[in-house]
Amino acid sequence: MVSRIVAFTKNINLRGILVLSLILLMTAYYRLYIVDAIDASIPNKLQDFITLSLSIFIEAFPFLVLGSLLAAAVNTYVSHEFFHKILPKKPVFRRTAMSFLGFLLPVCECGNVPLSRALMIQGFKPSESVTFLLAAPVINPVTIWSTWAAFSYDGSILIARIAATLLIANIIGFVISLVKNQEQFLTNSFAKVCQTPKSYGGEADASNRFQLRRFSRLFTHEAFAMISMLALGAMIAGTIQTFVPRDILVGIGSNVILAIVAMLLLAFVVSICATVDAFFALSFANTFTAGSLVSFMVFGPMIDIKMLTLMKTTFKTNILLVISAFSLIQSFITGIIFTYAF
Amino acid sequence: MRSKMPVIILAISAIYVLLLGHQGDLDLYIHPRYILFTRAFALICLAVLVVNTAMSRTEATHKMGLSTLPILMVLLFAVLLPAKSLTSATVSQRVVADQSAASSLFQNSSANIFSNSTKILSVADWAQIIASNPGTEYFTNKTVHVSGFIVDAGLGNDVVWVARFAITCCAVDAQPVGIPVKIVNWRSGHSQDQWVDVKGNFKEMETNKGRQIVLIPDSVKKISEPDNPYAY
Repeated sequence: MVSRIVAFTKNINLRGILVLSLILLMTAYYRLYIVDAIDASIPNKLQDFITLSLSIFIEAFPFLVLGSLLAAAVNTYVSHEFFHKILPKKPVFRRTAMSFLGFLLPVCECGNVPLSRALMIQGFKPSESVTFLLAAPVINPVTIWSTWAAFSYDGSILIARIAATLLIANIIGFVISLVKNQEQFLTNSFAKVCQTPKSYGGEADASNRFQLRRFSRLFTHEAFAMISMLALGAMIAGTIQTFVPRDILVGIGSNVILAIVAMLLLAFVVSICATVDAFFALSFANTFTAGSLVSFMVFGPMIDIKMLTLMKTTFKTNILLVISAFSLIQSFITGIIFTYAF
Repeated sequence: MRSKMPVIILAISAIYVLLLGHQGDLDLYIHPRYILFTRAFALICLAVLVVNTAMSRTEATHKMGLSTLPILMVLLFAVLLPAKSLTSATVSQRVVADQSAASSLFQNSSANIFSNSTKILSVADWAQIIASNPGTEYFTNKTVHVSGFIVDAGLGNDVVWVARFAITCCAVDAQPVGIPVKIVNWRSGHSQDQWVDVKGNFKEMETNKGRQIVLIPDSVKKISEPDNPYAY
C-alpha cells in the first residue's frame, strides 16, 4: 500500500500543485479580507467601463470553459473517423449537416471557436468549419428557445432568424469552398497544428492516464488561446458602451435603412451571446423596426468584436474580412426583406 | 514559472468567479439565473487545471507576448478592485426615449402590477405603469414604497429620478428604469447615486419635460446599496 502511494505521488507534480495553491490562496485572501476595505474612488465612467467589461467577461466565461471542454473531449476521445462517418460525403450536404451540429453541441459562439478548431484538426476543411461556426450559435435548442421566449408574439421573427442564419452560413461556406487551397486562410501557427494533429496535446497513448493528461492539456491550451481574446473583446465593447452615447444609435431607429444599419452596428459592438441576445433585442422592440431586430439577431452571433478577436486565433485577417463583409451584407438584406415582406 | 502562466491566468479567472459567487456579488454582473451555471463551470475549470498541473512536468511553452496584455488587465481590474454595480453615468448613456421599452424587460412585473397592494410595486413596476399612460386618476390615493438610486435627469423643480437598472442577461444590456420623485433641496441632503427608500403618493406637476406624474414623498431615507441592486 505504501509503495503504491509513493509510486502515485512520484508521478504527480507536487511542486506545481503547491505553487498553484499558494497563488490561489493569496488571491482568495485578498478578495475575501482586503478588497472591500479599499476606498477606490474611481470616476463613475471609468467604474462603469470596468463593470461592463467584467460583465461581458464573466457572462462568457462559463461558455468558453464549456466550449474548451468539448473541444478537448472531441480531440481526445472522439476518433478521427467519427464525424467523417456520420456526416455526408458530398460537400454541399456536408456543410448543410454541419449547420445543424449545434443541436449536438449547443455552445455559445465563444465556445464554438475552440470546437471549430478541433474539427479542423480532425481534418475538416475551413469552409465546413466556418459554416458550423456561423450557424451553430443560432441553430441550437438554447438559442431557439430563448428567441421564442422573447418574441412569442411574432413567430415570424424566430423563423426568419433560423432561415437567414442557415442560408448565410451555407452561402459563405460555399464561397470559401470554391478556393482550392483553403489552408492559406489559417494562421501559420494553427495551420502547423492541423498538419500534425497527432502531436497536438502531446503523445497519443490509449491509456486512461495519458488520455486524461492529453484532455487537460488540450483544455488549457484552448481556453488560454480564447481567454485573452475574450478579455480584449470585452474591453473594447465596454469602452464603446461607456463612451459612445447609445442614443445616437437609437435616435435613428425610426428610419428603415438607418434602423438596420444601427442595429448591425449595435450587434457588432455589444458582443452579447446568441443564447440571450433575443432578450436584449426585445428591449428595442418599441423603438426599432422588427426587420432591424432580425438583422441584429442574425449578424451578432456571426460577427462581433468578441468573435472577431476569438477567430483571429485561427483565421487570417483577409478571410475574416470576407466573412464579415458577406455576413454584414446578407444580414442587411435579411432586414430589408423582413421589413417589407412581414 | 513562465510556462505555467496559462494555468495561473485561467485559475485566477476561475477562482475570481467562484469568490464573487461566494460573496454574493455575481449578480452585480450577470442575471441570477446564470449564477449556478457560471459557478459550476468555474469549478470544473479549476478542477481540470489542477489535473493538468498535477500530471504535467513539462509544458509546451506558450508565447507570452502582447496578446496576454488584455487578460492581465482584466484580471487586475477584477481581482484588485471591489465589485460594483453600474452608476448614474450609465443612466445618461442609456436613457431610452420610451420607458416602456426598457420596462418591457421584466418577466415578473405583470404579477406585481395586478396585485391588490401597490405598496409592493417596485420602481420598475411603477415605471411600466407610468409609461403605459393609464390616466391621472389611476394614481390617486395609490401608496408607493420604492427604493433606488438618485439620478439628476434634468427635470428641474427639485425633481429627480429614483432609478434602478433592469437587466435580462448581464450588466451589458442594463437599461435604466426610474420614476420622477420630488425631493426638496435634494442636493443639500443627498447626492447623485445615493440609494434612497421613498414612501409617498403620486401627483401631477410641472417639470422641465412638461406635466408629469411625480412621486411626492412622505419620507426619504438614505440606505446602502442593496445586495441585489438590479431589476429583472
